[in-house]
Amino acid sequence: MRRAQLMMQLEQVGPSGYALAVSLLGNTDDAADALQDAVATVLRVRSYDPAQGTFKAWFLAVVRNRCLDVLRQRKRRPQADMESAEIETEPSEGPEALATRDEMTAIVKRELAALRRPHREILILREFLELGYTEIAEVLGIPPGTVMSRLHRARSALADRVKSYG
Amino acid sequence: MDEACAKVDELLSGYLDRELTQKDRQQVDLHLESCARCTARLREFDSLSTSVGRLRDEMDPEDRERWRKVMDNAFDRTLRGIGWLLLVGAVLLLVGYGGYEFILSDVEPPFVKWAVGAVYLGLAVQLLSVLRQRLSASKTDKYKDVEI
Repeated sequence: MRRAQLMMQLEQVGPSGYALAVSLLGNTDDAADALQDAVATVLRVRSYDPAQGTFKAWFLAVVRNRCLDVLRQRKRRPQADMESAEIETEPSEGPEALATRDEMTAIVKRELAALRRPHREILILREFLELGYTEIAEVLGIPPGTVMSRLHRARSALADRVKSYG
Repeated sequence: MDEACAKVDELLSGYLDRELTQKDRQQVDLHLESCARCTARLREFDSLSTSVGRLRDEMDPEDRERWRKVMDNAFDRTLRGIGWLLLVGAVLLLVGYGGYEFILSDVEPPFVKWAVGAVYLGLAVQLLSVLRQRLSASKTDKYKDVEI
């Protein structure tokens, strides 16, 4: 792929990559670093093959792999990263603040951030980034048939958490 | 949850996302006509889907623009890498060519050639020593990932 074409494609998929990184890593600083590494890798390697799927899915898979590396590093040194490993769930937001905003959206935001990583990422890919099942399978490296069942479990888990608010 | 509901429940995500085959879709449609429980479950999923999608609109405008800065940094970093590669490659080429010409030259006396050779060798040994030290430190330094 020619460099100009590659940069144009990156311009289009950049925000999606950033949103995925924020949702996986839980804070914007780590997400920015991960995205920067992913973009640098893409510019250096340029190994995208259109036969394997869309550019967006391929790029998101690169971003996700970089995020998983960061998460693995966090596990190896938990003390240093204890603070940054916290998911940004607006802890200062009390019941009154929730009531003044769109309550449902605020609850969903909080509970989405608290979900297990496989559930959170598949919901972000589907609902937030609006990827089809084939693209989700490409990003996560799982069979397309698994996408529907995992998405179902993720939605059920989120629904159960939201229900607990009554 | 009876067997029919359990079977349809697994298909509700695909139904909502319009990813089912026509046969499965018809099966879910048929079941939903007579099952209030599964219809409520579908509404619940739909509502959650809308709420998660709404988070996109709530994204901080600063965050929306932040990715652009990130991309620019990555482009700059790649360009810097290419620049360093060119610089180091050219310097090594010139130094190598200079050394080669110097060795073949008949103008300088042999002791000058030996002395200059020793300078080259000394520099190479120093460089290798520093590289070895850095490599060893990077493997054992527990603060290597701490950003200042």
